[in-house]
Amino acid sequence: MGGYHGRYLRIDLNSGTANYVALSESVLRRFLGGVGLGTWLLHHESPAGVDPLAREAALVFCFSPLVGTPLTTSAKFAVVAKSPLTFRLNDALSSSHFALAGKRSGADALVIVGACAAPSVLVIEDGAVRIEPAGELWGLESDETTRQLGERFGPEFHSAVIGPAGEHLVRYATISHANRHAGRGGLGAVMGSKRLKAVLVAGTQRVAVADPTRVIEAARDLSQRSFGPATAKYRELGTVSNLLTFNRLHALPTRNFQQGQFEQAENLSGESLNAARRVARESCASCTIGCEHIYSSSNGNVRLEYESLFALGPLCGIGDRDVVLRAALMCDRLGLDTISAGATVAFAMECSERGLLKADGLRFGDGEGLLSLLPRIARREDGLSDLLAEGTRIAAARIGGDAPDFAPHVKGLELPGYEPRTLQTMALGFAVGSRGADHNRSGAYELDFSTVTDRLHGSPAAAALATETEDKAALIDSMILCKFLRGVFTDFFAESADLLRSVTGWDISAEELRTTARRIVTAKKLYNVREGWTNSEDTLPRRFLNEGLSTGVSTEATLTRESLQIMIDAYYAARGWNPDGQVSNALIGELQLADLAAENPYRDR
Amino acid sequence: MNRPTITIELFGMPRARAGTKEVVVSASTVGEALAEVVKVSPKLADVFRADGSLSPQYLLSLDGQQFVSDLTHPLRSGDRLLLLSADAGG
Repeated sequence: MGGYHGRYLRIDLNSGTANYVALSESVLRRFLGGVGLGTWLLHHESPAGVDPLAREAALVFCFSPLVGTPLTTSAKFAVVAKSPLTFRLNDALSSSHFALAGKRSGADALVIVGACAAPSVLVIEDGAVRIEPAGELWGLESDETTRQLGERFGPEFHSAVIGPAGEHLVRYATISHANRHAGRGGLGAVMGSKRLKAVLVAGTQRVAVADPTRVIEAARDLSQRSFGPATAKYRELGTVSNLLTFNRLHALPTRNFQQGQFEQAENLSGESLNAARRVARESCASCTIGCEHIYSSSNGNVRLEYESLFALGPLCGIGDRDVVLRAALMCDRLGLDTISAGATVAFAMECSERGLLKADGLRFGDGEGLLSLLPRIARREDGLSDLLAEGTRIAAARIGGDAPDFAPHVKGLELPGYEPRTLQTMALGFAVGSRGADHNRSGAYELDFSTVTDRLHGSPAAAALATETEDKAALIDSMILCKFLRGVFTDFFAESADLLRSVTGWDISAEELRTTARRIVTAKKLYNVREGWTNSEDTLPRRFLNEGLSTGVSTEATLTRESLQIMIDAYYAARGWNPDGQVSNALIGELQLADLAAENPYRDR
Repeated sequence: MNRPTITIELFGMPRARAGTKEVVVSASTVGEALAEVVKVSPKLADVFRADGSLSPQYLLSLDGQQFVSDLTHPLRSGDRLLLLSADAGG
């Protein structure tokens, strides 16, 4: 079996010990790597019902069979844990040298349990583990932490670090590697709860592939295609180019989802940012796309994506470019998820304007208010910032009144920059997502931006098609490759099977990978069921179901609870789940998930 | 016969390549409108595939209300055609 070490490294911070645990070929073939294998490991290594910030909770760094091969964009890793924001499974991806060095350290995954007695760094070198004190790093921002670790350990080591937000258990804190973040769901808080400032990896243990000649051929072919038109958007403008498009289609969330267009959108547009502020274009290790566009702010240069731009700009009613760029840079350094940070501040702005929250006169468009709040949130400096560090769901419950109706989250995870009422297939994707409102695990928006569906009127047919986008995401996040490559494949499952055959030597087919993808999606669901999921969670905040949205023509875009439920029912049916969204024994058997379903309270249904 | 006057709004990569926000053309169909845009901005020639169909890296929306891919789709005077980059994710 090529592509794997066939083991994971289990590190117990309580005792400071580590041991290898074998991973059978059966498990690896069923779950591949990345989020798939991470999900399997979390089922086994995190106790049912665990508090995500308890020392017993597991934090999983998971590599993949493709890491270390010359295949473009394959230098990626997944981080998986129970989220302190959603209390459900959370998986987030990041990229570059940490993935390469992590896999060379000798394992297919790192499972970290327990907690250190004092701030520490975990150092893994060719499988040898040591824990070193890091009191002098505690309190430092992510970029400075990375810089000091580089000086202390040298260039062979690569680090995943937390900023002040992770240390202070902000429920949407990130884990950062070279300023690329495993961003969503508060994984940085899980690491902070273990008093781990950083995980460092280095090693020399390369893994052979089954058919080196074929892998090199495939790598050349994929690289060649990655230079082509399917990825031109990412190279030429980056994802920030979404902003004006979404604005034109009334799909740009503005002022906490009260509008779908922002009057200052032109000023913030990717097109104008590129003309006025772009200073460089960069790429992850092993990537031939180069999607990262770097912009200048008055506080330094910052990488900006659409999601950060929307959340810290229009969602907060802010049109000042420099404020948005500085806020994004601040989030990166503090280790705050830009989407949740922007959404939480936007929510606080609306609460303040409505008189529900005393927040020093905070209002939409208050750039200085945003820049003042972010560092306070990251360190929970006062009552207001401590409240907002909890995320919108918990904050809304504490604020009371009708605040929960417009707190912009699903399962606790704040919505990304897709307006659900004018992108109604995406509305379904948000409602049923295993980690909450999520644009990376469901690509349902692809259907809204197509001739296949009517984006203003969701339908059961669109719901069924949305499962395909989830399946593709589950596979690409488990192999792992970058989603920005997806446009270069003509037959994604067949070509993925070819890549995996070359690397692993398995006689694997497109059909098997389709089943693998379905298995991974349902495995996540089973984890959530074990942790208390019911179908009442698969919904949207009341605002989206009760308030229409202007679309610039005669009729408003509306999404009713009934029409959303019709899509959810169709989605459950397409997944093969029961009408209440639970997973039947028969499906557990069909998908070979029995080892994950032992504690599924609904397995006899 | 006079052809309808159509405004083509450009977003993302098409705008960056063309260097303009919109182009006004005379065209009876979506395909004719795109051909006129390519005359104005040859950098957008890849909007057509070799077989004459719409390249998958582009999207077209009629007045922001309806996505279209059929290049024979008829246009009326005053229509606004949006030319967008595909792949909304990120």
